Amino acid sequence: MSNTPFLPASINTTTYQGRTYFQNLPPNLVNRVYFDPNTTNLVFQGQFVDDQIGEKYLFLNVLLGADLAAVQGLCNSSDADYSKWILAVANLATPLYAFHENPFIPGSYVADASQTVTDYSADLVAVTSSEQQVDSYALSATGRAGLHQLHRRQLHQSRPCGEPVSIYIARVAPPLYSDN
Amino acid sequence: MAKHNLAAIRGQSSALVLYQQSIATDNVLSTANQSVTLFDPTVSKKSSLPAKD
Repeated sequence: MSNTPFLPASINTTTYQGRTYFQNLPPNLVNRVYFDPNTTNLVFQGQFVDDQIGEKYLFLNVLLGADLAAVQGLCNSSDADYSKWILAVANLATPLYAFHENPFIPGSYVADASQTVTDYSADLVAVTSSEQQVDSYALSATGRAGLHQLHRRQLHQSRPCGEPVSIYIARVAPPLYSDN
Repeated sequence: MAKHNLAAIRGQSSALVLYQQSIATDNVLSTANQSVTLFDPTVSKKSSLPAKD
């Protein structure tokens, strides 16, 4: 049972390396949803699985359907803190910051608040600018056919210098690869 | 990861989709017309939990 002053009492938890995990979650979520007592944040993260035998794959940072129900269902609906838990799950979000060079301090970069986008648990964290700070990149076909042009480059001093600029042109055409 | 002779996206320091024929052909800038989506699949989403009453 919970032993923190933040988690609802009806949620079963396990503490490991300073984080509080939820033992009743299904295997695809049990290591990706946790409570951090230091920040008092509920955290949900995506995961790249570097499978040594099969294909490498991703657990996306998108919470929908059965996965969302599983996280919400951790807390008993009769728990006094049930509504707080549901609200906390609904508020899972990440800000996507875009940076530009500080005109007053050349060589330093600051976040442009006017371009900050907030993505919630059900949202795909779409990257629309190469100035946006990301944890990692992925590219997925949506189902529409056509050509696309991908540009990769090195912009910020916070990123490794000397990387070449590359442009790739690819065609999306059926049948789309469905993976396992 | 690179698959089927395509460029690897994961691990790049910066990336941007410059052009999509599916958008240009329809002349409407809409996510519904995209043929590909560039996204961040692993960044953490967080929510602050208030202390219990």
